[in-house]
Amino acid sequence: MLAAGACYLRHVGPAYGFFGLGLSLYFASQGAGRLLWPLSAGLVRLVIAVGGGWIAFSLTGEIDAVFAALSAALVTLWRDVSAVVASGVWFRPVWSVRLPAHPAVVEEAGVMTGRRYFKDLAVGQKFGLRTADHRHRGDQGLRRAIRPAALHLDEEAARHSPFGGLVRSGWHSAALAMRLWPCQRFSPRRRDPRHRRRTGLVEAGAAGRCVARRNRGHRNAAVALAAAAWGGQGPGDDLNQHGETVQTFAPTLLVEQRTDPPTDQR
Amino acid sequence: MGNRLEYLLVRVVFGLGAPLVALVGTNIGAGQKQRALRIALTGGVIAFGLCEAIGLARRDMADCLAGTVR
Repeated sequence: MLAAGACYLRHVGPAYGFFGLGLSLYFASQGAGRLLWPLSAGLVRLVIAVGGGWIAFSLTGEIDAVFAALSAALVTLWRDVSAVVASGVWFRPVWSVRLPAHPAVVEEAGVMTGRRYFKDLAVGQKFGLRTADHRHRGDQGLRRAIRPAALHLDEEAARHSPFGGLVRSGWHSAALAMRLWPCQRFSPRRRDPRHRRRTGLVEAGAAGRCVARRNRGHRNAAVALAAAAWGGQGPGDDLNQHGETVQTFAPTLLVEQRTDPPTDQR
Repeated sequence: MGNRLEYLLVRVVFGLGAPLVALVGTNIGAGQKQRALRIALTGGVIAFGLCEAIGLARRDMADCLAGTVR
């Protein structure tokens, strides 16, 4: 008994320091809140001590081999936990979080041209919109579908209304404004039939969320959302006949992420 | 017997480790990464020294014991 104990101490005693080092680094990892890998290292130690000891004993039939395995397990514990701490696991985020896009504030025209991918956008970047005259634009069938009130559509009927004339519908101008939004500028391959449907949906102001869901998992169709603001006086403004701003938008753009080399500007 | 000795070591390292948890935790919380690493390393070296001393001392003692018994 005493001989076995002495033998144990002879083999494992020198490795005690590594045990202390590994265990204290384990505690430090506990302080850092990152216990997964140190715990795994403890598991590896168990496997080496029990499995390695058993194999060593069955191979050699000597108790020394078991003690050697125990001591190897202690050194392994130290090595693993140190490697984990040295790899900087403490300072890595637990989950890598993809933050939502910052709102891009759009104020005036003529600054940004050409197609843009999501990563080309920066907060505060400006880009211009075309202008459109609400009175002469838009197809009547669509207007009727969106907002079928005579007040907004029928000039003769509107003349007899309390307003004495056609009144612009907020829904109509919203639809028109969304058509002006430069989604075609952001979509790099709108001639590709796979993208046509999505572009059309965005142009019509349909829910972007359902588009994103449809395209999830498609390697080339990774899209991101960018919030934009539209307001104030400027060439892209939504004005009434008195030149006053009547509408402010906070739309969300579906912007493609670049997954392949940039294509030429079509 | 070895198991008992390891329990003894665990007690010692627990004594070192409890303050290590607090020190490393507060330093990482404060963004002091280098300091947290230094504290961990210092604690680790102290623990190594203590445990190694115990292990070597016991080994010598065991040699003596074995020598007297044999």
